[in-house]
Amino acid sequence: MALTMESLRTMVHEFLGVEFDQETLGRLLPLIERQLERMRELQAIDLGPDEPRSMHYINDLRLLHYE
Amino acid sequence: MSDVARATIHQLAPAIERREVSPVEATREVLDRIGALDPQLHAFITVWREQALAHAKRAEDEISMGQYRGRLHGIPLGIKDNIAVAGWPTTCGSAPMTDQATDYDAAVVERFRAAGAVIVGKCNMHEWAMGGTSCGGPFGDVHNPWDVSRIPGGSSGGSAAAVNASMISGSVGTDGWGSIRVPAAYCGVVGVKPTYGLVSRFGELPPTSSTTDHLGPIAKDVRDAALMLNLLAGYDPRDPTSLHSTPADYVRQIEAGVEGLRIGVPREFFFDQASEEVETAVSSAIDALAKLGAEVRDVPTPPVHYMPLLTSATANESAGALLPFAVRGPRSFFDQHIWDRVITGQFVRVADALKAARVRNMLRREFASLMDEVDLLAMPTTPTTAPPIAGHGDTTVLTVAFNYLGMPAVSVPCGVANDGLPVGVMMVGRHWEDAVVLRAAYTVEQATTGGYLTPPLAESI
Repeated sequence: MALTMESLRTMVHEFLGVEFDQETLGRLLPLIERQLERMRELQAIDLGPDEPRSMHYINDLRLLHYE
Repeated sequence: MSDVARATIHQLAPAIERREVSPVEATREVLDRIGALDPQLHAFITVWREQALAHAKRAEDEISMGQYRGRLHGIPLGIKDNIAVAGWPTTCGSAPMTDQATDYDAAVVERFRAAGAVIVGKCNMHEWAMGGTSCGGPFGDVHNPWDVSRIPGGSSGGSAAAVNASMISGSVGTDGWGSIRVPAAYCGVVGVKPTYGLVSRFGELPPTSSTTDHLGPIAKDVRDAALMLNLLAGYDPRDPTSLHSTPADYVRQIEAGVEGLRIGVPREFFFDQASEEVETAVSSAIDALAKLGAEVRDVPTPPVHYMPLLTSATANESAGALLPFAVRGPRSFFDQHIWDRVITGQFVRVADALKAARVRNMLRREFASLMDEVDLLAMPTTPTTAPPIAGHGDTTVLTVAFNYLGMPAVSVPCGVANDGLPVGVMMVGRHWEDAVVLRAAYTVEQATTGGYLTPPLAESI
């Protein structure tokens, strides 16, 4: 589903609690479309079969240094 | 340029200790250079002449009384302007922060002061440290001393330009995506991103990224960088990201050479994007390491091409700190590009952040496996030499992965390209093996440039 000015206006209002003017929304529209596209690409990365070693979300290097 | 201004820290310090050069003379020299060169370079946001001279006088008095504190005593240094210096403005390169001052020193500043160093100024930077050019901000574009029509890189661009032009002897920068190493490469100085957790971030002002930001030295040569890291490294309980580490003497080991070290060259991605002249200079530097006894071989590149997706999903951490100002503050708080980044960064789902965490872990495992086979990696710091102020690409494309991985990385100049601009080679090592990285960087430096590269502009004063 393509992002429209109206849907972006709603998202901005719901997520950020503010109203941006038409010009600002027009500038943000392609940037946020690109952001959402990148997130789709991120989700599409194949990390192989799910198994415990690759399933954790710990990125804290304080912990990982001592693995 | 006078001998005092040109001197590296390791050259100046013994002269200060022997009282052949006074800290007041050294400080006055750099202040005069700042007065002459900064109208062109805009490398500083704040310079406090009277306080710097007072501290230099105190250092001089102490040394006269036989109370020499060590190699940084009486040495004039700068600090990037997102690092707190008590009583001085810390602007983060943003106009509304002009009068914001802390009543405390950052940990790195405390350590400099305890060593008797003289802080002469706060260095200009990319606004909010959110960019790789150090241009477009309210305190003026920072210009590259090698060619003032070029960017110095960022975000620690003022520090690198000032060190290169001998307006200070060294500086501390911050590096979240490459912000120490990129300006170091573009300006022809040495930039160290230490192992994550080695140098305290206490007193680095927001926005920061808790898992990718690092503080480290920017210096004229590798020996100076090692000397500064000796002072800066160490656990600090005030910084929740600080880690316990074994104290090391980074200077003592730098002359050990590279014989027997296994150096991997990840050509795919890191060299694919390099311009011909950058590739030539970096390859020559790597050849020099091989001639000096390193075992050099090409290695496969882990999938770092995922980095733009990773950074898109995680940059919202630092952007989040600025969100209240973006939605409710005056638009003058940011330039347009940063405002757009702050807002765009909010449109990341939890599922995306979690996937990014898994991709990051995958990269970490891939690099860990690679570092079982080699001791170091060698590659260009940047794809090109410093681009024009008017047009530049992604300056941190080759550096950012090592922020997410926390591995130590040093950019060291390895030559000057046909366009008259310096080229940096990046040496990357295993966690906590900063000494090995500095040792290889020193060997590269001695085999290529021989040390501090002075641009014509610096020589002219």
